[in-house]
Amino acid sequence: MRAERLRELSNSPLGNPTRLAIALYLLSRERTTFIELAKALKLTPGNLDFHLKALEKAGMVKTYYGFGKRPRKFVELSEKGTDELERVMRILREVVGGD
Amino acid sequence: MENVGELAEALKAVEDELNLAKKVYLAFPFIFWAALMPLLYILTNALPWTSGWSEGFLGDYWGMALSTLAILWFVIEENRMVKKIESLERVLGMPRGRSRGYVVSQMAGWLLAGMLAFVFSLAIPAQYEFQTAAFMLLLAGLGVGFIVLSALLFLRRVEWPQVLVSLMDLSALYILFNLDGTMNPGAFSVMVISSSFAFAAFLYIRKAMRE
Repeated sequence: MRAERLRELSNSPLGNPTRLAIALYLLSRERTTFIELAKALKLTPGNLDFHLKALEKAGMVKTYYGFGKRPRKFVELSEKGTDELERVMRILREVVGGD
Repeated sequence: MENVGELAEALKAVEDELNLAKKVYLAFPFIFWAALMPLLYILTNALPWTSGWSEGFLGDYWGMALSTLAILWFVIEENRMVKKIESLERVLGMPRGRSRGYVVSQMAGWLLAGMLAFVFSLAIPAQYEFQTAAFMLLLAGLGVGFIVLSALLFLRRVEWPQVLVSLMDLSALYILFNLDGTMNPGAFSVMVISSSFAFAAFLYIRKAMRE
């Protein structure tokens, strides 16, 4: 049962620990910039970009550009991303026997 | 992470962080009002260039337009905050549906509070400045009171800091009419409303820090 749930988790777009951390960080914020996200999660820009592209392709996050002194890339968790995060957290709770 | 105990610990830490974020979001609209009310008051009354306006054609419209904008902004901020809290609650495994009725009842609550405050403050046999001060206290007290009621009806939840805001603002009406000229009534109302909102924000954040 537990192995089955973990397999289900590994098939999720948020099954990767870094992507799960990105989604959780975004959930607690209204929006964040690419740079802030990279700093907070201690990821290199290249690494973060790689994961964000995968998350964006799966519809988990939305990215867009805003302008200030210089163009800034903003990242937000999408509604689909919130749904998936809800599912992943439910699975994790079941795995640790919290439910 | 193969160790289930380690996973459970990490999950607990994540849930604690999300719970903290949720409670801080609850304080947002109150911090917003606490900061905005004195600013609105200064803009409409205290600055020389705006106080000149209040004697002329633009007078009441200026104050009314600023107050309406502030309320609209508040409703928008509050709805964004509620949406964020709902997402956090869903992920935390405690879903609470927000019906369209909840949003409509909040807006209707503010409108009703505005109308009641207007009628009551006009009915008060007092000088114009006391009526305006009473209007502000009634609007804030009744408006937040109606928000408490709509949360109770639609979410089955009582927000005690909001109940306190409502009680503080409405009970300050008694003090308002017993001011012995030591304080400007408008400034008194603004201070009461601002401090009641700041107090509610403090209660939310203190609760978040303690849990």
